[in-house]
Amino acid sequence: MRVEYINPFVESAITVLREMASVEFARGDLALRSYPLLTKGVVIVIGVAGQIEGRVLYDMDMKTALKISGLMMGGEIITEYDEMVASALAELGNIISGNAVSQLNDLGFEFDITPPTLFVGNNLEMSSPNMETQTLVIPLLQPEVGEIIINVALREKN
Amino acid sequence: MIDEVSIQAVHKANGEKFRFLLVDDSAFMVKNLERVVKILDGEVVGSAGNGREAIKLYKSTKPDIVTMDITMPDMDGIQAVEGIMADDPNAVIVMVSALGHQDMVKEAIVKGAKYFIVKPFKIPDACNIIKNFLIKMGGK
Repeated sequence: MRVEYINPFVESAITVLREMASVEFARGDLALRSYPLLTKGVVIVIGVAGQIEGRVLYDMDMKTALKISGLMMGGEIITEYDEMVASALAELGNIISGNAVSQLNDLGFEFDITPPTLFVGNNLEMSSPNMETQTLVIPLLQPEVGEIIINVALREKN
Repeated sequence: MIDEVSIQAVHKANGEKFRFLLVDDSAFMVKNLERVVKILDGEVVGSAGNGREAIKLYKSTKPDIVTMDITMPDMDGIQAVEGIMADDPNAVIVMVSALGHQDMVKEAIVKGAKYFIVKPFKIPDACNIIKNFLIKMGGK
């Protein structure tokens, strides 16, 4: 896993959140986490396949998820998780990842992303089905909205 | 909101509304595109969540213009462009995707798509871009 793979996702996330939710997130510190990961409650998962393969997770708590989707809908106050919230979050994950992948494609890597999958639940634990034991994470922080943890596990295909 | 109000509607030369088919697997994105169509005073004749459904709906609704996502389950937007163009070589398809890299744009255009909009977009910006396409198609 090369550290440079994570940067396009972080940069794209900050730009896309600014465009779609009109909110400015700050980048936190890069960290290494061990599996299994205990998630914060709402996880958007995007698969990556091609010359580079793996997956990208966007992990946040429910309060943050509701605030972000409300901002994406033009500043609505949303109190309940419903299908439109799920759709907005999935699309957020799709656009962040699509923009990041486009940057990496222009650098010469050929790969594509799968449609997003959303997982919601308290004490949701993620395990790696592969041999990996650790993954790179970067938190994005915004004092009013909360924290989104970007978790990138990608590797070059042999 | 002031931006949206200032954007004028656009109609066909004969005064009829432009008819749109919206293709995107995200209900949130379809809702946003519906707002764009409403501001331009067009009509949404259908929406599809995957490529297969899009081809079927194209045949039954014969829209003036199609917005097409790329990453979708079952059948992606590039394959759907191919299917629609096989049915109607004059179809006007606008790709609306987060995958803005060159290869993907090229492939969509080669398959017959006329235009490309990269997500994310702000609603007033999307209105202006699509309005320009409609004017090129003879809209006023």
